Amino acid sequence: MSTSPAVPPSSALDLEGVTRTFGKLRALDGTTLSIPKRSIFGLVGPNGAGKTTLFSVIAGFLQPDAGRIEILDGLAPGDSRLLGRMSILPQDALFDRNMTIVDQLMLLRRLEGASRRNARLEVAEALTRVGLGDYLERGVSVLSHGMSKRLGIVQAFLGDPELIFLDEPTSGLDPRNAKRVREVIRELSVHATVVVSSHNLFELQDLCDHVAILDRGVVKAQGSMSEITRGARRLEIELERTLVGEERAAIEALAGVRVAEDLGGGRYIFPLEAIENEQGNRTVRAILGELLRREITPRSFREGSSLEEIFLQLTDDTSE
Amino acid sequence: MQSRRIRLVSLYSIPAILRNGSGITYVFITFVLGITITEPLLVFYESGILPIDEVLSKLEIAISVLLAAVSLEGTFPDLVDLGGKGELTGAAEWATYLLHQRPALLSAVFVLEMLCIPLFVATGAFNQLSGDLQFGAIRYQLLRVSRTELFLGRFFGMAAFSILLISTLLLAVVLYMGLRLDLYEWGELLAWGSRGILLFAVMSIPYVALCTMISANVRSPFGSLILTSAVISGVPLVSLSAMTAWAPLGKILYLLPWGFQHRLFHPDPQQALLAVAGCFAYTAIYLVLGCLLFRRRDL
Amino acid sequence: MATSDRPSGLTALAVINFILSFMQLLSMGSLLLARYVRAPHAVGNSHIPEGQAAQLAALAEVPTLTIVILCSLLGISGVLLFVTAFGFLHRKRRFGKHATTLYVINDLTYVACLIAMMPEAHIRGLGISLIRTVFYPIFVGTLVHTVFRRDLVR
Repeated sequence: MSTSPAVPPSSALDLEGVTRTFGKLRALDGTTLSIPKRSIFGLVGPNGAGKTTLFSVIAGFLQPDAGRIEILDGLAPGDSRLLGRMSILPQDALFDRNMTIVDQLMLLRRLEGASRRNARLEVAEALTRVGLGDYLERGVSVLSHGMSKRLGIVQAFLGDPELIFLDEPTSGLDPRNAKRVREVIRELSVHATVVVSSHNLFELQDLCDHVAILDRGVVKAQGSMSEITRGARRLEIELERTLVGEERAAIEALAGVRVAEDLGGGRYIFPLEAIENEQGNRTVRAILGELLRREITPRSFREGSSLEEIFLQLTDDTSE
Repeated sequence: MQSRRIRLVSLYSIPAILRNGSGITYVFITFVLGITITEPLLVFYESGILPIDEVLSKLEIAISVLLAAVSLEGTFPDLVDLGGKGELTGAAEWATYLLHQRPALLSAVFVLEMLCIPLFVATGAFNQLSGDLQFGAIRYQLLRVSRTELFLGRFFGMAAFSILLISTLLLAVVLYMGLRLDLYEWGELLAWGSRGILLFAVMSIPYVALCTMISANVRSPFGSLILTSAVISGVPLVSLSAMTAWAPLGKILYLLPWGFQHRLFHPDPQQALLAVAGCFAYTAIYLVLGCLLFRRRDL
Repeated sequence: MATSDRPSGLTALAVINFILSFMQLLSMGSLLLARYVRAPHAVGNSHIPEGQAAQLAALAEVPTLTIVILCSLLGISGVLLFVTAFGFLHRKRRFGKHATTLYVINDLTYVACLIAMMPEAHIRGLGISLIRTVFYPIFVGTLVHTVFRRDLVR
């Protein structure tokens, strides 16, 4: 693995051709990825896609077989200059069951250079912020799953690191706790680049501004959320009633519109030949104009597709 | 590498050892068994069952056989035979030094403890990193401290704890002898006792380093316990039994400080210094090897 | 959600205390046995080694009050160890921390009384095990008031 200082300043992390195998299994297969600074970056992929392996390789827990990784101004994983600048919420890691929560978090802050007094103050404040203020002197065994996730997130954001990896921060949480965790991530991620992996695509679409889709260790797509979700060039529309044949044919005859897909209940998908720029806007205006002229009221419409649809298109359904 | 981070890791690891069941067991085993094994040595004299001269003459044979055995001078049955006939000249001189020129019962305690303390260390120092590896707790620390710093921090914490524990045990024995037995002057007892405590501290360090190496590279505390105990107790057993088949196989003993640690109490100061240097060299070897493996391994 | 965040060190101490509490009660029984059953028959018994016979002879001279005091202290230690074991498991301030303090005081008092009140021949027979007797209360007392001070709070 080589390290080159020539990293674009806009990237918090660059990976090129990163490969990691476990026996015959190729968990990362030439993974290439670039994560912009100050973004909330979503990493999605089916089970076994290599998300956790990718996080572990970047964090230096696992050694890559090949490839180039440059973190925060061209540093390689394990470089001592990264200590304290990067943090992670690992997926399956448990805190020490025998030590109190405050002692464990204080050690982490003190390793980053904080004094004992400041470390305690910061830890107490951070835990209070996520509703764990009463658990300072307790062990982790008394925490529920949701509380443990919040504790893990607090440790990841402790000391304001520049780059934070959260591996499935809401997995196994009920909707209320998941929402709370998302709020915590949003609140704490103002000054940092945050990389979140999750199976919950609606959550990522809501939370992230950039996304990459990983399948069998290969990045299938990456970019800003709007780029990825608009990439399918379609208009999903819900009408007050279903279209009769002639109405539907009239819309399909408009310039830039292809054959519509009827989802039932007055919902249609119109694939568009172009949705970018002015031509795309003209096509959308023409469809809406045609509907209004025929006195058909659109209840809702959405450009592009959901992350879930893109995900299903790009990933192989035979993935484990 | 920052000494501050190493210090923090080691300072944190000491209460962590005590809050862990294995740490409590380590203290309990070391102290209770450490005291118990000295009991038979003292009880004959204290209870008036045997006069001190008779105790010493029996000890002299036993210690000279033991010293000859760990010096690989022959197989154990042969040495027992030779010892009974008084033909173990080198080892006998050494035993005479320990029993006649130094407080005899304290020397005998030292010889016994020398055989047991490595085993106590194996049962106490096995879980320096393996538990954290198994449950992943180490991952929270790894982006704040380098692997080398973590490895060394845990080693220094456990070494400090072990030295404190072993020193307390030996100090208790020395004080007991001074207060209860009217055999030795306080001056000679304290001089020999403090030298012994220092030498035991030196002797325990390579074993702690060996345990650090093993626990940093075995992902299960139980596996680490089995391995540390098997290695530390197995090496002398294998070596001494293998040399009955072919004498050079006895050199296996030198894989661990078993081969030379008894020389820490050698009458020749040069030999004792060489043994001290050996302990530090073995510590360095285990640490470097363990650290290299730990730095390369997947966590 | 797990119900207990008791450190495993505290569990280990509780197990040790349970075992030691029974051993204290056994010690009490063996002291009574030695004083009132074995010692009176030791004088002139040629089957008992000389050193041991001297110890038993000395023990036969010990006043009943001394035996009562020592047995009471041993019994109290045994009970306190049992209580502290329960206190450690349930992380109780009163039964864990305070009972340990009482145990430490009681056990050290026992050792002091033993040395002050029992004949020298008997003390010599106990030998270095006295150190073990002194060590444990100091060890457990220190731990409860330092390492585990924030765990025994209920």
